[in-house]
Amino acid sequence: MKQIIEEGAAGAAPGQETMVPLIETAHISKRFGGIVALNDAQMKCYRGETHVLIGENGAGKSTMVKIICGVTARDSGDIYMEGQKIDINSAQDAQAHKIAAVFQELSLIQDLSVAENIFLANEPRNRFGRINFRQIYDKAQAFLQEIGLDLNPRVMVRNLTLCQMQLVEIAKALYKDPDVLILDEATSALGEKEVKWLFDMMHKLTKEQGKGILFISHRMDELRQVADRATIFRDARYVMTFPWGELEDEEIVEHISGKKSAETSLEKPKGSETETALELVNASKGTCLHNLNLKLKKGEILGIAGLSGHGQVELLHALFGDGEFDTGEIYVDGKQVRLRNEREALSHGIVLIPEDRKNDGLILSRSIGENITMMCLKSISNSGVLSGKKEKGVIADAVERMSIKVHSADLPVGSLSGGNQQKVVIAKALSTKAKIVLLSDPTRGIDIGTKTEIYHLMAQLTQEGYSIVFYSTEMSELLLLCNRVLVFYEGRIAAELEGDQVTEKNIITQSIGVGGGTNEK
Amino acid sequence: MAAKSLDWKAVVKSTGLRLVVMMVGLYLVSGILEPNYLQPSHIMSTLVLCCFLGIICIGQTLIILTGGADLSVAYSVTFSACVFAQTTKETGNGWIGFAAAMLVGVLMGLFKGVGVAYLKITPMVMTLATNSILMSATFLYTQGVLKGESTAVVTALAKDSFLGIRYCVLLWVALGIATIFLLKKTTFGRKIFAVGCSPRVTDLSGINTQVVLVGVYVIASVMMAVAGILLIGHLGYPNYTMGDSYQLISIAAVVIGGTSILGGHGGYLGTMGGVVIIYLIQSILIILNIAEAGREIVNGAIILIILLAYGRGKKQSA
Repeated sequence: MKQIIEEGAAGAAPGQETMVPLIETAHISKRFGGIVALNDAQMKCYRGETHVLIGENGAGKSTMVKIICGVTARDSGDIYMEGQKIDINSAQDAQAHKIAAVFQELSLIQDLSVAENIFLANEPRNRFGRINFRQIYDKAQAFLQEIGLDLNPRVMVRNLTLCQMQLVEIAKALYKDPDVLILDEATSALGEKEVKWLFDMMHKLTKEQGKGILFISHRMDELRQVADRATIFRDARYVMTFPWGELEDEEIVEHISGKKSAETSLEKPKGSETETALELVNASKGTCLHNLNLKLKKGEILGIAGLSGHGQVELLHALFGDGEFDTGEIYVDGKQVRLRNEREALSHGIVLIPEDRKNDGLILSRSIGENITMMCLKSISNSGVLSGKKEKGVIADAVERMSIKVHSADLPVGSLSGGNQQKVVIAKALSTKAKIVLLSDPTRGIDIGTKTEIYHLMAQLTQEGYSIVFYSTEMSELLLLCNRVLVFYEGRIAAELEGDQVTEKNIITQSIGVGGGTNEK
Repeated sequence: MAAKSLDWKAVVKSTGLRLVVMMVGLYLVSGILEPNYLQPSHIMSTLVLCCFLGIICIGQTLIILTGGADLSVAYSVTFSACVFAQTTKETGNGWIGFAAAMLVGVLMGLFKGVGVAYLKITPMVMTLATNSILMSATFLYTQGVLKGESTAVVTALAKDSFLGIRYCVLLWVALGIATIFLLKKTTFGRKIFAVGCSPRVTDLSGINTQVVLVGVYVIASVMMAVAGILLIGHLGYPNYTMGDSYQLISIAAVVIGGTSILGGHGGYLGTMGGVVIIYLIQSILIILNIAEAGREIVNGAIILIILLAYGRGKKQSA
């Protein structure tokens, strides 16, 4: 206990030494089966601050906030709120203490409206306990306006984009008027505009209303914008707490990884000058894609940029036969093809690594091995009968190539951390041997270490004759890897940037539709 | 896979152990209540009853694994049995009768499978409607008068023994082993589990989910036709209600056997245990002199209790 008091004084921002933390945890431990998720860890968040938790995947950040909001039960340790010891064993307990959370995994009910989701379990009711729907929509409309979100409260959640769903999730948490707001990777599905809205909101909550926010994100530039203080976790343990700005980025990375960071720089693969792997001519689809013309050179990483929800995801899915183009021509290796379904796309050597690994990429409850081999059943069987030997070979190759950290490939893939799950999704797609790889936001919500591994893998793949279409919501990745970037705006290619034109400024200008065609160097 | 240390926690929690304990327990209870039931001859006659349900449950297990349920068991069995008996009588050739019943099995499966896979009709609704159609088809086909009877071969299958074991029980075991092999060792089996867990992920993995579903419904319906023919051997003649009692208990047996009612998890070995447990419960009810109606109430209650106890895990979707 003594040690914590000392540390608390050292780690607190100036002027806060005498303040009681709004929320504090001490000596928290948690095990999941044989895996230690938290070991004697702690953190403190004061009123009026945005406190960021940083660490690699599996370092214990998410477990910590899940314990605070009652989603996960702690094995031992204490939680204090304004100096009072409190007991949180369920989400209801957390709500009673005015703690609300937004997670990367969405918890919305797909078949209810935006308004119903926001008010879920807190619906305005009339005397007889019936939900008053007119009131619900009016109230929701007023609330959404108040917090500055442009969403129709009557729309079914199912019909929203991933980004809009995330906004509803945030609105739902805000509606509870929490003292402690937890945002765990809540920005991963948001576009830049929405992120800015959220940050303004966070500023208002902390600086004007004196609330406390716990914020987790893998994007360093976001942390830079919002953090007041930070706590670092490593290998399930508490490392340190520091006021943001006191440590250099390199120092932070060292504390996160426990080792000196290696400079990340890669040769951008330019691809072949003569050979085209994939070509689209005047392709359109419904209301989301208009008149697209693009060429993917053999061996290049073609970047797809733009604010989220401008047709990028639809393009990648259409190229994989998940929803056909209405008009236009598609050429693979110079031959015109049709892509009416996923099997046709695969037969032409095109494979998609979908952005939503939990719903589109993996069957979480089946084993790692089964997930890896799901797309290459033919190659692990003899006329329909599985060959254990071939299967083991394919799995062992994939685990080694992707350096997936795993005790046994028989474990359910859902037991892996986000980064390792993503590696399984990639391994699964590569097992098809398809040479045109469509990567849809592959680094969403995964740790820096795994991200770097994926970048190196992508560069390696281009050397082996793969061609990659790479959509990312994180601009730094596109700047790092792509010699050519297509910026999407309202379902159209607003600009094609190449070489020196690929700059942050150009991409932003074009993605908000003010580029007007000419690009600054 | 070699020399893994035994995880006792997992063993205690496992469906297999639970099933074995239930089977032994129920068997002993029935033996205490009625010592004659411990005789080998009674065990064999219980297994004969089990084999009809067991073969039907091959179909039910596959369909539940894909996330559906077949509510057309009653008349899938009855209709194909009637086709077998009547065609045999009309042509005087049991093999033609058999071929006709198999053809009916395939067609029933195609009908249900296409409805579920291509027309996207919910499996329960599709199969319930199919049951109603097959019921009318049965009456139209027989024109209200049941014709035909068992053939020598089919009677022998149901009544004769090889080394003390009835042929129909041997057939059940053989088909059971084939089913377990299909689920565990073939690409088709992998696809069945994948479809049951997440049709979306399966689609995006380049697997034709529609073909998988149609295949499953065809195999399932053919199994029901096989059970229908064997039942004729057992009963001697077809009758209009011969399939009725299997409708719900086929689902109960699959769920008792540890297959998730939501699909994607489970297997046929457990179902075989579930089938035996169902009949052990039935025989205890018979010893206790509980009438048919009472037994049906118990059957319904079993399903509810089993569903409450387990099999309601969370499904991966949104």
